[in-house]
Amino acid sequence: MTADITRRGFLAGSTAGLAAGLAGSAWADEPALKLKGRIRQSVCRWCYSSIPLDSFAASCARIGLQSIELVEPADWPILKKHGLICAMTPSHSITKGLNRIENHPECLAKIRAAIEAASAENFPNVICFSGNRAGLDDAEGLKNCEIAIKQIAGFAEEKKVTLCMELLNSKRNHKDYMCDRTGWGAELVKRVGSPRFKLLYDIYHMQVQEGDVIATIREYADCIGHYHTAGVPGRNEIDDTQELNYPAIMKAILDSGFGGYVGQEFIPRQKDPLASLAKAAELCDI
Amino acid sequence: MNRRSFIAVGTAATVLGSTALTTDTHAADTSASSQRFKLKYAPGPGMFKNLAGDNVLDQIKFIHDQGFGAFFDNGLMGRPADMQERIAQTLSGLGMELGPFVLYADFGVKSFVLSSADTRKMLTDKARQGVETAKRTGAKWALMVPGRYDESLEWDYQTANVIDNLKYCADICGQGGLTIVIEPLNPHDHPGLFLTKIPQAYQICKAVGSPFCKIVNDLYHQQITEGNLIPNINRAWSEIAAFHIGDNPGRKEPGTGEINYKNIFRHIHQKGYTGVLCMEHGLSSGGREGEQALLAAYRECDSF
Repeated sequence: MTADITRRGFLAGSTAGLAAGLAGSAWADEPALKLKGRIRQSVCRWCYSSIPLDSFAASCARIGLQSIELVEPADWPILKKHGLICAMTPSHSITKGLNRIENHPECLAKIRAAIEAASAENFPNVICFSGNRAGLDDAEGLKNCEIAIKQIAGFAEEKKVTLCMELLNSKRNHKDYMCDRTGWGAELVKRVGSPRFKLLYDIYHMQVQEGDVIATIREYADCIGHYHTAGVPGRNEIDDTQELNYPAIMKAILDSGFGGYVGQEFIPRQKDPLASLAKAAELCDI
Repeated sequence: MNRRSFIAVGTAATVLGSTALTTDTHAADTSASSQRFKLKYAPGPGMFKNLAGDNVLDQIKFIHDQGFGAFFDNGLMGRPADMQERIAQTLSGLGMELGPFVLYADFGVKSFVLSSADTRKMLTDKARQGVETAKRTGAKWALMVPGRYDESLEWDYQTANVIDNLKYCADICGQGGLTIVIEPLNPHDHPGLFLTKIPQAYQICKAVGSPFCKIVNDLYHQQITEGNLIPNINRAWSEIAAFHIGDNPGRKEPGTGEINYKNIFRHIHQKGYTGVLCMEHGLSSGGREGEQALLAAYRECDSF
């Protein structure tokens, strides 16, 4: 595992990059894949930060992905050039989130701007986070998140953009993060009561935190607006080097009536990151 | 890696359960000297009743012929003594291992969590009976479930009582060469039970401090309760003496749910595990075809 690369670091503007670049990719010369596309697939930009966005976008389009996500609006023209969208627009930070009233002005301003930008392009989602507990009670955090999201949900509805709060594990990668259980997130969705506020169910994070993936997807299908992937343990390729059976999980997602996007969010460990991405896309293309 | 090879890999994984299974199925019940499995997966009684008949001894011979190295029988203690002996003789004649039998698993009462002379006497009497079964059969492992938790007692006192009671039981079992394996169960299927997590079981085994008190890690239950299967296997490794298998959801054979058993088995094998993995699950389809699919599923998962 590339231990020094973390999403937190990336979002914070880290300059660390993956060792493998496009030059070493045997995949880049191969003809385009034909995906069935019943699961609409996306990929998180931060996992391939060493590959220039323009060539990465070209490769993603040839793999058959429909989106590169967590890309700032300034870079969207590059995505559009390759026929891609940004299925999840970034907004505020992971650790300083909506569970504290004092963060609301900053977070809501960023969310509002992200919704504006996404709406202008007809892109579907904007991300948000609970923030860390830092000693705050979960019930109090839930109440504060509800207060914040109710202020922005009307705007999201008007702009036809869905705000998604991400579920992350607090055991390993995001110590002390509050929105770390599906039940807590689903309670927030219920309280907000807007069709434009849902959860980003990260399969990797939730397997680390709570397991029971398929049953959880079935139970909370109505609350989930987006998915992320990665292998457990290690957060690397989603193939037979890890403990989850991804085709079975994708089938459960499809069977739940899901019409959104699944974002590949693993850190490629193999020599050719694009070949890993293409293989993951095929594995999920059920 | 070129595209052709990764497509081949991807396709094989995607259609696991169709093409791969059909290929193996034809060989399944005809071969009398099938290749041995790399790990000791243990079918239970009745699992192959359509292919092997109703007689449990015939079933053991059948699973041996299919390449299995072990058999498990949760209800062994409840069988007549002569039947226990015949099962044991059949297994030892074939060089097969006997997985953990259930020594005590009352889901309806508070037992291990109590500090009470009566409860301790009940548990130690059970342990002595378990040793008798072990003497008759050569069984090395016996399963105990610590029972319900007590809402009126602080959790840490309950933990201490479980540790105490297990020490007494492990002393008795140890004298008969029998290792207790404690099993965490998931709270959705079995609400109200004390022991649910691998870290919790690990803590208890470390505190008991006996080579005769270990964990049976039921991967079906743990996938429901806490996920994170491989990291927990690694962290609790020194205390794990047996596994139970079942995919989730549905508790059927590997390949029918969200767990990538092939890689978990590879991981366990790479760690040098030589113990038993009990196939404590149902079959996804019935009849002879269902049992052939079961065999094929294990062949596939064992092909690491």
